[in-house]
Amino acid sequence: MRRSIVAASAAAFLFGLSACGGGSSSAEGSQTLTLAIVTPPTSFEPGAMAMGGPEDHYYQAVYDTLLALDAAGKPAANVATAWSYDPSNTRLSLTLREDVTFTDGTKLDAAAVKANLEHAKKGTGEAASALRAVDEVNVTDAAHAEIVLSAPDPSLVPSLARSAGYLASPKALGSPEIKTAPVGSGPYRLDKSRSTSGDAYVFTRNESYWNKSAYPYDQVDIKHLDNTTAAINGLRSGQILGVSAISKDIVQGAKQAGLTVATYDNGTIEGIFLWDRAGENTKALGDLRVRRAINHALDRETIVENVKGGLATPSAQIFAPTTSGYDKALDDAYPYDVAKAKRLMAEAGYASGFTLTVADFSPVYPDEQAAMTESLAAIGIKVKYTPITADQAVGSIIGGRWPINYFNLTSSNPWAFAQLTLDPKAAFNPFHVTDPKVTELLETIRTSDSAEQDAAYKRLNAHIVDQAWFAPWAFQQGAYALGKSVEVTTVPGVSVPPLSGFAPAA
Amino acid sequence: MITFLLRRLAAGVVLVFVIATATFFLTGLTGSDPAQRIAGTQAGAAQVAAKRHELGLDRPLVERYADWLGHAVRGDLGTSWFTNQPVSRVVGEALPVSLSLVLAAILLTAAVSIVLGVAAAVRGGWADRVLQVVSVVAFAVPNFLVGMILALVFAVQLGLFPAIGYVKPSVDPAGWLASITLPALALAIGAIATVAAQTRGSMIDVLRQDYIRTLRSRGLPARSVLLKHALRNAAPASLTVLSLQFIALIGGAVVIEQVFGLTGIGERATSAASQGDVPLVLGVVVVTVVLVVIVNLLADVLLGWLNPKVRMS
Repeated sequence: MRRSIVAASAAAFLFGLSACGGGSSSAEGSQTLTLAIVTPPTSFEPGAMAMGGPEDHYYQAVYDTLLALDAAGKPAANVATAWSYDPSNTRLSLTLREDVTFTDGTKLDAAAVKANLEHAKKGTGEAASALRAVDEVNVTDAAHAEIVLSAPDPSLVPSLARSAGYLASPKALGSPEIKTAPVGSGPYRLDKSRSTSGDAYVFTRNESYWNKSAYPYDQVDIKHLDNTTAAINGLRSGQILGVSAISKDIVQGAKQAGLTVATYDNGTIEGIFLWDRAGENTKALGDLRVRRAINHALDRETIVENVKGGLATPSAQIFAPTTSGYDKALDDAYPYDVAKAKRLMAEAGYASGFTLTVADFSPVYPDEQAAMTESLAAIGIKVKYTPITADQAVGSIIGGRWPINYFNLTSSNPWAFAQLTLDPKAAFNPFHVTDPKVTELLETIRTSDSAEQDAAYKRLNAHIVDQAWFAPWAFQQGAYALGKSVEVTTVPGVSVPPLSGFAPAA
Repeated sequence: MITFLLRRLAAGVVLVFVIATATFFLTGLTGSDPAQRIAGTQAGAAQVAAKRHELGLDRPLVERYADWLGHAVRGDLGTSWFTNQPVSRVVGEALPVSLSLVLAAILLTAAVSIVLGVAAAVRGGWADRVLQVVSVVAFAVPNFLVGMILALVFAVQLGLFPAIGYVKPSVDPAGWLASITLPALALAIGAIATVAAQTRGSMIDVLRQDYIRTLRSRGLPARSVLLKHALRNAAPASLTVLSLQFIALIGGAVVIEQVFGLTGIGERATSAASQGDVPLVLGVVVVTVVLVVIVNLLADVLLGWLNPKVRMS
């Protein structure tokens, strides 16, 4: 009995000793901003990273961008204080700040901008794709650079506020070290000695940063966390102060815990993307009546409520509400009407439906896929699912393996979206479907000025909706769950609020 | 004994080679192409092709295997395709996390299960029945559920432990202990049930042996009979189960690491596998198999020390 008491006491001591250490890791109330991100950074090399996912926070901590995004999601001054096109829209002049220095002491000047843009263009990431029209970069003087384009590119300026505009020290560009040891001119420096690769990254303040007041925290810790339970527990315990609410479980969990969930238009359209719209492999999809029937079969309101937890805006169009191509009237272009959808199917000769073989995305999008299956089943279209691995998803779509998919894609930069999905050579136009009107409108947009361009975007949007190239169901709303001691200012059209938007709660 | 160990060591080396080779070809034959995923959804065909070339995915599978094996035998496990970090570094940073969990869980299992098993065997009656019922319940409850409850109660509600994350012992020993306590407890629950039941059964068998009765009749103290003679003879069976539990705990750590936001070997294995990060998958597999081989060898040595009959066989 005596020994049992001793053993129990020892266990209690051990338990107590452990418990003593628990409270010290809390981030609440300190000048450290601790955020969680579902993915670790792939590479810190400009030109190799993604265009604008949640991992942006890693890069925003260490890099300046040529331009920033304002509260409306439009390009704004940053390292470049002014920019303008020549009348042919093929020469973009930039005026640069003259007080910016990289953390290795190198001056950020026009030569550095040239080195970065040329390096990123040769890269293997999305930035390279965004800079495809860049022919050369001329250095006028230390504070002025000129980007020469092979053809007008309406998406270039917005891209310079994203990963295509990240600026690293020219001395570090091309070195193998930059992939994991960034040298930028941003508000923070990566402290590699206190970071664990792929897990936790510690960024300490860059004391010589030119815009320190925009970043109130002395330190930013970013933890890779891809489990909903861990994310909610981290928020509730105060160990993390913010996490992108990528699933409705996180949104609901955070709300139930009395935490704030900031929402914003992230510019992503989702729904059924009808790739084989010319009916190359699936004849039925080449019939406009079938594509319109699919659109009428979608109960967008219910899908938004049940699948997205209310965090989306029902719509049948493709261009995001923050863009000039958006037309509110098109949101309800295809009202939910199963009877009408069935009539259209019958008129097209598919009264008893048909079968589609589609990639199984249920491991990642179970609710979205269920909504698609149910909607299509209502008008007789059966879906057979083929299992694939996550890394095969995009490649198999681009390779034209599937006639349709549940999919989502940002359209907050309408030209980039058009280049990605509408152009006959576009990656996400896998069957390379052409339409003379689409081609004509794309050319008008490319070569025209602002007012004419806006009108052309609207006409293009209306035409795509009329031809039912897609069956979208909603524009996503981004959601970001916050701890109690932090507040955030969101920006539309991006997947996570910018790092400069975080501040201690008043 | 030395010959026996050398034979086991040679078998271990063959095992590592066979499993690594099988893993390489299985991952190679899935048709995975992570180039697009790494380059990003909006990357053009030229960028994706360049990334594919950079990763060597445009080379024949056998050539890639020979290349990987040539580097691996020299200790170079390559570079992660997704994080650009050397695999040896990634695994080296993840291994202490998992080992901390698993070793803490094993120590907890060994200590608690032996006490419980011996107590149930010696006392019998209600203590024995309670142990059996609790064992069945503890074995049946999934460890991730235990983990979630522990995190909710002791971390979120009471604030006694961190809910997520790992602290290196070199940075803060108390913080390290705090960061692994709840995950190790969650991990150990099922193992304690299994090993305690095994210890109880072995002890009951041993305590019924004639030599135990003889020792008691010669007036040896009860504690000496129990601990020096009965437990030592009952221990090999428990130790075998414990060594098997070590391997099972490495598997169990995959889920527990996710619940507590710990970046250990399990978390690395699942994320690398889902991303198609072949070099990291191979690195994790090789290191895990080596670990299992080492644990089995250590168990053999310990069994030999406890029971000379094992050495003879």
